[in-house]
Amino acid sequence: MANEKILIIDDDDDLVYAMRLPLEAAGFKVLRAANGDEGLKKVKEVNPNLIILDVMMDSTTAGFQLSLTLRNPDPKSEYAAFSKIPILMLTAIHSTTPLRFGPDKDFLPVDAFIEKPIQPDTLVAQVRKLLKK
Amino acid sequence: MNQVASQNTPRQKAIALVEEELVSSVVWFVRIRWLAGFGVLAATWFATAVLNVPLPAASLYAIGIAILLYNAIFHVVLQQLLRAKPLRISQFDYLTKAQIGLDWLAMTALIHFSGGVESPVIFYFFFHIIIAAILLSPRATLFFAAMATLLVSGTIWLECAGVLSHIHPFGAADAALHGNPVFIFGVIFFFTSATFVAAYFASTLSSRLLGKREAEVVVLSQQLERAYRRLETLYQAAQATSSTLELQQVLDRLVRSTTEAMGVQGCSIWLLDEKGTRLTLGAVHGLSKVFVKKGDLVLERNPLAREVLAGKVIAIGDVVTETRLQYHAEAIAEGIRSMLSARLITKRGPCGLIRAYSTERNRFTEEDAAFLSAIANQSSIAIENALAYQTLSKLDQMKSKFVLMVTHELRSPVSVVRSLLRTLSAGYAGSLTETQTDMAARAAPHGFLANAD
Repeated sequence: MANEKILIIDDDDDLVYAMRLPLEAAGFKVLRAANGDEGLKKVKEVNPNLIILDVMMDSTTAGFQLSLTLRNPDPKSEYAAFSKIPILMLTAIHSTTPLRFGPDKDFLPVDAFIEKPIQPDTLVAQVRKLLKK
Repeated sequence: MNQVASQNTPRQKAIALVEEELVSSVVWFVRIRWLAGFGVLAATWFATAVLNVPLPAASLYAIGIAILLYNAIFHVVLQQLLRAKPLRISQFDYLTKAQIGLDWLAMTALIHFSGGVESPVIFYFFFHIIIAAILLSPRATLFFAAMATLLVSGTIWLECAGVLSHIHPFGAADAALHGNPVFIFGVIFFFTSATFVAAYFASTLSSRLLGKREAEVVVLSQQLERAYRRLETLYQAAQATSSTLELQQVLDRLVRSTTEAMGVQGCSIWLLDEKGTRLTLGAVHGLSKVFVKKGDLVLERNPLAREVLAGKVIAIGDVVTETRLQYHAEAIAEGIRSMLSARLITKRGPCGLIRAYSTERNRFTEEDAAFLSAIANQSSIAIENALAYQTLSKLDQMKSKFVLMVTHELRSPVSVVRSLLRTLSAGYAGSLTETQTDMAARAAPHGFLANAD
């Protein structure tokens, strides 16, 4: 459990800061990428144990696209080796609209959602849960 | 039994009108006879009591009274007939013939008792003939004219032969006149010829007048029907204006009802594009797909469209010889021979044109042009309303999108702040003093930190 690497892919520096503190306090190593492209690069470089991904970054669908790329079922995809890393998705959609997201194998291949604004204890608990699986 | 015709076609309306006139003529006929009856009584009294003419007063009074009596019967019968609904025209015809028949007999009796061949009353037969000619068909008139001549000639002959007694109104001086063959022949000849000539003239003239009247009524009825249908279309167009804001529906309804009201082959509406250089088809009815797909009306190449947009209502009487059309060949192939176009104009200026097509040449008149103008006005209003509604819908959509965007944009930074505050309050940035905890609590919305979300 110690030194498990968590990669946060999010364009909002302050939000990342708010998440980093409780995660580091819980003993995780936190790495950060600021956008989708950087995120994919870092995944290959670092091979994290868990990815925290924001739904919307530079474009409204950046988060979706990234998750689809990572979880591409084609065995010849360059991310095939990384397709088993658990993904936790951050979203504000549930609190701002009546829409509800759920993980979907084909369209939204993530493992769980967590809502913004984040509650630090909930975040840590959710991360631990996903890593245990 | 022919009833009063149901008021359907213009011809039937005309017939009904003529029959109504006949009925009122019969009523007048009965009324006039009261005068005749009293006239006979008065004349008899005057001739015998005042002028002392040697006439058989008793017989003459009797005839006068008889006339009044049978007129009373006719009057009653007439009232009965008038009460029937609907009126049975043939029965009025029988009544008329009965009246004329009895009148004929009364006249003959009067002639006999006032001097036979010498009686000046013979002349009164002529207006009877004329009345009969007007009220009856030519055949019946012929019959009654023959009857009249038979009755009068018969009476004269019988008096001459001594079977009937002869009355001498002018004293014994003309004692032998009623036996004088030349005199008798003369009177009979002129009476007969005058009767038939009068009958013929009156008959011909009256049927001519009636025929003309009938034809006029037919024409007027047709015009009225046309005008009514156009009024209906205008009303429907006005309804379309207020009942739907869907532009396409409005246009479709307008072209269809215009086609039907004008009784033409088809109708189309063309709308000016945003640049104002061409007209694209907005709606069409009654024309084949081939013609419809022929293309836009490009103003540069279409002098007719330019003129119409400038404000003129233009009728093309013969498409074959017309030079201003852009799609000349296509129109001819479609079977179109004449067209009528009027412009559509809104507050912002001309926005298109409406066009009626006919397979006949020179189909469109001034009246049609006025009608199409009126339709064009209604269409313009409807189009304006529909376009305004479209703009409004778009603006409403844009507003919703904007609101959504703004809401999202605002929420993102706020949720970040809250996330930071939570992290801070949970002690991950170091433990907080009481004052710091208090401050963090005040920064967050009341009751927020207590939530276990």
